[in-house]
Amino acid sequence: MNQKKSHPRKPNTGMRGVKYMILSVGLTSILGFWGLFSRQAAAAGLVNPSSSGNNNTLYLQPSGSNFIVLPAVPTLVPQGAPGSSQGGVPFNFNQAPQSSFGFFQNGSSFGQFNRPSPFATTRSSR
Amino acid sequence: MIHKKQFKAMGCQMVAGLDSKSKRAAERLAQVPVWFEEWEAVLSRFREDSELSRVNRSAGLEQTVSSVFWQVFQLALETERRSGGIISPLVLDALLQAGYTQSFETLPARMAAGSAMGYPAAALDGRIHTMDEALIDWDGASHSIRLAPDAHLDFGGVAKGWAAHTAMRKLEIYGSALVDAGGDIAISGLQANGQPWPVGIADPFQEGGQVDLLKAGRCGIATSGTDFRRWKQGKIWQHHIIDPRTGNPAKTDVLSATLVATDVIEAEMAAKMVVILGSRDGLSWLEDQPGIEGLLILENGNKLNSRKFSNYLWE
Repeated sequence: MNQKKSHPRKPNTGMRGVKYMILSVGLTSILGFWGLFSRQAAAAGLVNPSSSGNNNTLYLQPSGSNFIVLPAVPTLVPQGAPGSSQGGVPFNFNQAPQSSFGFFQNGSSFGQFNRPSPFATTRSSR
Repeated sequence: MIHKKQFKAMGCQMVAGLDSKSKRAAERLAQVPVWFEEWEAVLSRFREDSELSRVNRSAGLEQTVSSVFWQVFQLALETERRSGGIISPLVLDALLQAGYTQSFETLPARMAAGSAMGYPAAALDGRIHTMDEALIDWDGASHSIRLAPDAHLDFGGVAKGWAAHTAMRKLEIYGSALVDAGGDIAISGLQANGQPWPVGIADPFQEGGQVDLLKAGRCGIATSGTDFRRWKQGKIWQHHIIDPRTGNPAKTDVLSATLVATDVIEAEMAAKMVVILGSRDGLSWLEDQPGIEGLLILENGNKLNSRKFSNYLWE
């Protein structure tokens, strides 16, 4: 009888090796980059934004001792108006800045914003 | 951008404001004190060498006067006509008689001493000369004036109002302008941003205080009163607002009157008118004047105002 001799298939060990290698490299790469980014993120302090209720300054509080202070936009003063925050200096509502045309002089406060200080005063001759 | 200039002139504190982006605005504003100095040299009765003093010394003689003198003289005549003689440029002798003999800046020391300023205490004859008595002749063509020998001129508030108005007109070429001549304020119009000029009304009872804030566009504002320029002659308090009907400082219950009118010359005339007439007649007169609104502060502290005065108040 002419029987065909069946031979059990030998596993393709070459291909299997390549697959294992690809998988290993992939996993290593993912874990490696994850770890790397984690360390960089911690170093840069990009964590836990919080705000202070005392003034209009928004703090981005890092884990380290140095922290970044961003000037916040004053929400109660129209932009461009005398006394609005400029140059990273928070606006202090209790301290009226001077202006070239007399507004906000003599310690006027936010509540008097629409009632400026007089530019001139009428009085009996003096 | 609002430029501001403060200086002293005519015995008063002056303020000039100019809202302009022009590079020449500040330069122009710096000229304002120079203009006032020139006008004071013509119009002051306290300067021996002024044109007014020269004219008064030469009473009885015909004299040709300068353009500035002529303008203010004509304005004084018009003011007397419109006020029915209540505001007269011929009150100088009465002022001197009451003790107002020198610039008010030099008076306080004498006030404290209760001096009568060295002038005799003799009373006037109880009347003030008016233009109707032909005590002044003038010729418009030659700008010449001849005072009767016993007549003397004092332009007073008319000169200050004219100066504020004239300075404002010279500034307004460059932008919205405000000129405050010792409380008489001329304003050319709203500021460049469309907002009115904020003008305070001084509290006559409290130095440095303010009773109200006005919003002012093109108009004139003036305050007249007996609260500041007053002095003691003997045991009697005197002030600088003469009632021509009596020849003496006006007996009035109005401590100060603030008027808003078309221009500062009209406002100054109306303010003085109301003080001399007193609160009852003054307010009655005021209600008959179209375009003039006012606030009266009385000696007893009460405040009265004309019907539409609140339109000018800053809410």
